[in-house]
Amino acid sequence: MGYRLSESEYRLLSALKGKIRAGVWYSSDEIAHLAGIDRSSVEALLRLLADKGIVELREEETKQVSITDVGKRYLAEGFPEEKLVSFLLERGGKVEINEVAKHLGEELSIAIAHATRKGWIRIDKGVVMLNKKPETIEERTTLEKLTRGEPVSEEDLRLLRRRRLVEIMTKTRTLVRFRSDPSSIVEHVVIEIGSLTRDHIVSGLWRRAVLREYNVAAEPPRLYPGRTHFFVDFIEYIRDIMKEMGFVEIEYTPVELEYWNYDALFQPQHHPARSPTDTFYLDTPREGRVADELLVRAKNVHEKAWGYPWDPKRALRLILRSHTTAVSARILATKPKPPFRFFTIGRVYRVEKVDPRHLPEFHQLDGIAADYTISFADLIGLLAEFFERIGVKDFKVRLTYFPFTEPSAEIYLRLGNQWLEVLGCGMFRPEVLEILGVDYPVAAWGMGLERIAMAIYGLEDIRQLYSLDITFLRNIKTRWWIRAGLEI
Amino acid sequence: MPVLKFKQERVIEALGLSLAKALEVLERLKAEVSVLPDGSVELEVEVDRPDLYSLEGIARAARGLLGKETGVPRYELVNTDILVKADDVPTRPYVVAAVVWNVNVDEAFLEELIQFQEKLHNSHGKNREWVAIGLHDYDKLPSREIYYRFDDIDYVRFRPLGHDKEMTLRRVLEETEQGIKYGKISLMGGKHPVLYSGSEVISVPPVINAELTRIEPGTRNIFIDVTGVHKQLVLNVLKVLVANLAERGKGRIGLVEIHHGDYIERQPNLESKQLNVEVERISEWLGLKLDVTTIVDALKRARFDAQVFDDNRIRVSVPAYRFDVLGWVDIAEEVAIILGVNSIRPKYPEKMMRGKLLEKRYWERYARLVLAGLGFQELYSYTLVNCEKQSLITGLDKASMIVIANPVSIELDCLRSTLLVGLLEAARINTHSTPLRVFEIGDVVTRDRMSDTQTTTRSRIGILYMAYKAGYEDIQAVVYTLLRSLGDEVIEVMPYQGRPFMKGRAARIKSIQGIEGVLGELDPAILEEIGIDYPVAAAELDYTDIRRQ
Repeated sequence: MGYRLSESEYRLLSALKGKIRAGVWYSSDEIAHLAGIDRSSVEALLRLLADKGIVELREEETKQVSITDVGKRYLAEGFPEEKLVSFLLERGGKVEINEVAKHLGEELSIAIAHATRKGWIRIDKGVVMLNKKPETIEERTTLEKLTRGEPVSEEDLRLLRRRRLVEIMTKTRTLVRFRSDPSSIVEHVVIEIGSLTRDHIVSGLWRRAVLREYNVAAEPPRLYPGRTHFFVDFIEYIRDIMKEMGFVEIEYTPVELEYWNYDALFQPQHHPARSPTDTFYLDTPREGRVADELLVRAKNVHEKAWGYPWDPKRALRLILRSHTTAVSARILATKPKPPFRFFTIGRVYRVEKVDPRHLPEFHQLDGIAADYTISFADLIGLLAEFFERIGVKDFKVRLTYFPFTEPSAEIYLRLGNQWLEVLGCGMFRPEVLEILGVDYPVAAWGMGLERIAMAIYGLEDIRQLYSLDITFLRNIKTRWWIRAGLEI
Repeated sequence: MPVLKFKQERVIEALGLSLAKALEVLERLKAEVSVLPDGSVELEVEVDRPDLYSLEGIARAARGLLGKETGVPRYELVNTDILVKADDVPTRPYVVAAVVWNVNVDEAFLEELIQFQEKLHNSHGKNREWVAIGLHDYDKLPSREIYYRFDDIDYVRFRPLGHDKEMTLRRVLEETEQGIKYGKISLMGGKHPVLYSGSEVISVPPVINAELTRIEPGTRNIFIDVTGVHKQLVLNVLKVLVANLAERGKGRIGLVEIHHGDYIERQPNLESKQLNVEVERISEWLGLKLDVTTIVDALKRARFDAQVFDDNRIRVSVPAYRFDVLGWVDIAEEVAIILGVNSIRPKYPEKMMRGKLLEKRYWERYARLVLAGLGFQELYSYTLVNCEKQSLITGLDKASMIVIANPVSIELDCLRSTLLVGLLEAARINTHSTPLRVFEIGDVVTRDRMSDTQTTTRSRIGILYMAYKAGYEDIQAVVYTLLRSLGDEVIEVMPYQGRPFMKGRAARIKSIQGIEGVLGELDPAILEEIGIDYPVAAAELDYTDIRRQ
């Protein structure tokens, strides 16, 4: 008869080979001892073997009587009533209760109660008097019998229990009886294995083994791979698209002079954005440097157009750049030869309190394209191409005003079912080109990356893009299809 | 962008259009429109178009756009008997004035007028510092003789607008709300600009007018004074004011003579600016094939006049109130507005050009893959950090960091000069998930006297390992594996002593490909101060100067 056994059941049976006989009752302790396996695992295994019909189990209850600490003390030092009697004998069988109390201390009431019950003493007008000298004390006899392991009557035991001299505990123990000899069982069993190991293969055990079938639908354990950051991945993806579209990457430090951030871009010095409520000014360092020729050109252009005295000191003030167009201005001032396309992605800074929709720092992509004949229509075309590549099909153009471009437009993208304003663009004004010293048209745009990334990753709170919570980062889902250029 | 609010019925009345049609026209005029729950219309107009700050100005543009009324609007300029005698006022040297007749102020218009004035102060007056406007009931002027003087604030007495009794100018400046707000702008040595009509004070620019000439519902004619520190700005503001008010007042504007010593001028001057534009240039700029007729027609609807020279050249007259028009590109934009931006079809790029990323990007990309392979999670943190925390970690003092003068919060008052600030913050908030393996790639900014910005940006990679037991070898193994995987090799290792590392348990390294960095075990004293009770090993490598072998 071929039983199916687990490896541990098999091991137990093998260990008992030749050590026990069929049809005889053993306790689980004995089995554990014989098999050399700890008792708790043996009990669990025996239950499994019983389910398979290999063994029979029986529970047996036994009473165990143990003498309490008080009982032990009475045996050694004498019972309180014994002490009382010997004291009375010592004093001629008659003693004032006060004196008895002094002698017996806290055992007084116990001694009096039991001696009275047994008829040994009586109390009259505060005097304890001995009736007769007792021969034996039943409680002592019973306790001594228990110590020697001799049987005692239920009645005697009840008396001891009432005086809390013994405790009676019921213990269950498991008894087991094998239907047939373990040696013959192991001959015929099939072994079930949970996981195959090298040992099974080397020992050849696998041949007699059956690999247990899995619940293949059960959840596996969670794994956390090391992962690249989703927002960085998104930025790198945008960089790749810009490269594909023929743009050359440039960068510059986010600490910027007002000159490059504002003056070179024809933003008048009294423009509301040029104030501590919008722009971060530095405490240290405070002032940068610009070539004189650039300062002179900015002064001439500003004063002619806006009619205010342009302050070169103001232009040298250091700030954290408020847009990456500052980087575009810098590259143009090096007078690159057209045609060219440049882009930069970098952090920009605005005085905003941190909340779910705003951060004082965010990322901007700035792109510029120049050719001797580039037009506003070319600019919108470049952007349309870019949008299609990132999976945006619908966009709206709305004319607006920026000091440094004309015409200027804002572009709204449809991402899912929302329209997001993400981008400003335009043709650099002739005044800007004059300050920077170039003599060809330049198309430019700047766009924030956070809002698009949020839409793609389904985030409600902009701060999640910068979350340092490892659990959040481990669990965010990648959006691989975005990279495939599928519609956002 | 200036945000304006109008009553719905006033929008309908002024534009002579249904609300829906009015909103559509406003959108085309570059205004962002929304109807508020109380039914009023909110408009965001561009800061370059002060002529759209009042409904009459908007209506003027709308009539043009719809072709109902085209070309430069004509206003009747008549002489008045008002004479302004201006003394030298050193803190606010320029004053001009004008009269607009038949404006007929009512309750609703009074609100619009105040809004118009305030928006101009903000967008063009640098909040009254550069330009300030005073509006008066012309018929309440006690005298046609206006004096502009720089007077002692203790000797000037009048009843300021909205107050029930006369007081000295000193009290006005020191105790009234307007005085406290604007009183210091033009005050110098106890003297302040004052405008008198005869012997009565009518205004103390840029602070407040006198109650005497208050404009109220029922006021018919308006006297305007504009004062300031930059002449062109002062004149521009006057032009847009009179032109918009004249739209309401059936076009009659009164000229005012200003005597500034021997120098006499008469304002406002509403002469159009002349600009020559070329059809070809506008077409090329917009990328839209246009002919002379189309452009001329569009410009007339934009309320300009246009005179054709030939197939290519047009002489454009720009109305005086459109001082935002600086050159031919602005004319091009007007054409785009009138034709509608959607008439410009996107031209997809045809030219093939070679794009390029910074070389270091490719190093970064491999580095990210290797570290992710080693089980490290990439982080991305803020570059704005807390100076004090950064100081604790780097040992730098404020004078050698990049410190913001106007931070939004004290927690974000420095630009980071090390990635360890962010990494340690990540360690602090993730002590429940040890062992923690994280890294970040990003820029830090440090001081550099040689640079024009006094700073230099460095590209760094920071790596952090936090566990029950985390030591030098743990981080050293990661750094060496990273470099070797990228074909690099450490060529110099020196013991490093400095924050935030522990003495004898940190190193400075250099590699063949130009990487320099520090790595080691962090000082538990610093960890404790940050609030981390696990050992941390970290590295920060600078790959700014990465080069092929």
